[in-house]
Amino acid sequence: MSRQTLPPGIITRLLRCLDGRTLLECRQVCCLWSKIIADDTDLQYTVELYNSGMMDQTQLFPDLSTAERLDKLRIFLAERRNRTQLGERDAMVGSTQGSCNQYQSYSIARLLGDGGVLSIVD
Amino acid sequence: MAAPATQQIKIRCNDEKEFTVDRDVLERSVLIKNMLEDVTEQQDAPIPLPNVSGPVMAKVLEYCTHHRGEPLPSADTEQSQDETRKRTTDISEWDQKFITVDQEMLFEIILAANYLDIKSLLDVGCKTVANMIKGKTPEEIRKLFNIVNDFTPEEEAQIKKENEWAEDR
Repeated sequence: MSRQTLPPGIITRLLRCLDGRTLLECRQVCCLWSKIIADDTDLQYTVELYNSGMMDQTQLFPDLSTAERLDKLRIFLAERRNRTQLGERDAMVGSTQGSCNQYQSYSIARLLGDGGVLSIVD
Repeated sequence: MAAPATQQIKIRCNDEKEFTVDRDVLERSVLIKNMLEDVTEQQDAPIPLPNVSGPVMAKVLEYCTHHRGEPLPSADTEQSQDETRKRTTDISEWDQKFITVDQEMLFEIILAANYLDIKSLLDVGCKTVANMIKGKTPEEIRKLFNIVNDFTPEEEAQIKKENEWAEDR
């Protein structure tokens, strides 16, 4: 245990080294950490990708900023929720039943058009 | 544009400890590099570094000496999105050995690297702490950082709920 505390800027920096799974633990640590993760576009993007089971395709679209990626992800997720509610899900993912893993079988890029930057995590 | 390797610069830490160091080693620190560029005439007074103690500076100088001559990261690299999106916590073997210190010293090195603006050392420190966080529960992380849980019970329950939803996906 250390007596020394690290300033928020450095906390942000070290959190950016972490994966989405670990960030979920980190946002339960204290109000400051929770706020840092919620306010930082990069950290939020990592968390939301993890939550939605998606993967970034950075190398295909190097010009998109993290904020733009986060926007696209949120639009996609909202659309996915809507379609699920409308009962289109089965039509979309084929006839297999049950888990969200079904989404693996269809291309997100199709939904997003040529701006698609996301793909499903295996 | 290598600086003359023979030029020696004196620095003084907050505990009066002084070091005399080759200029190119010290210029790993962007803060000191800028200071030196601002000074046109040769001066003998040591550069005061009020935020760094002797023992910490000794470690920082060990790092700077080992990495002397390597290109400094440009501002562009700092901004690179590819870099920020890369969740890498890989540390080179020498750096790994160098940064194997007690936690007090580790945090001191990070703060010094931040103050002195030595990006690569700051990265090594942050990656090391990130590796310490991995696999720990929120309570264990609090202990590690000496953080008090300041959530209200309601807030804590809310975050837990959101996380469980995420785990269920």
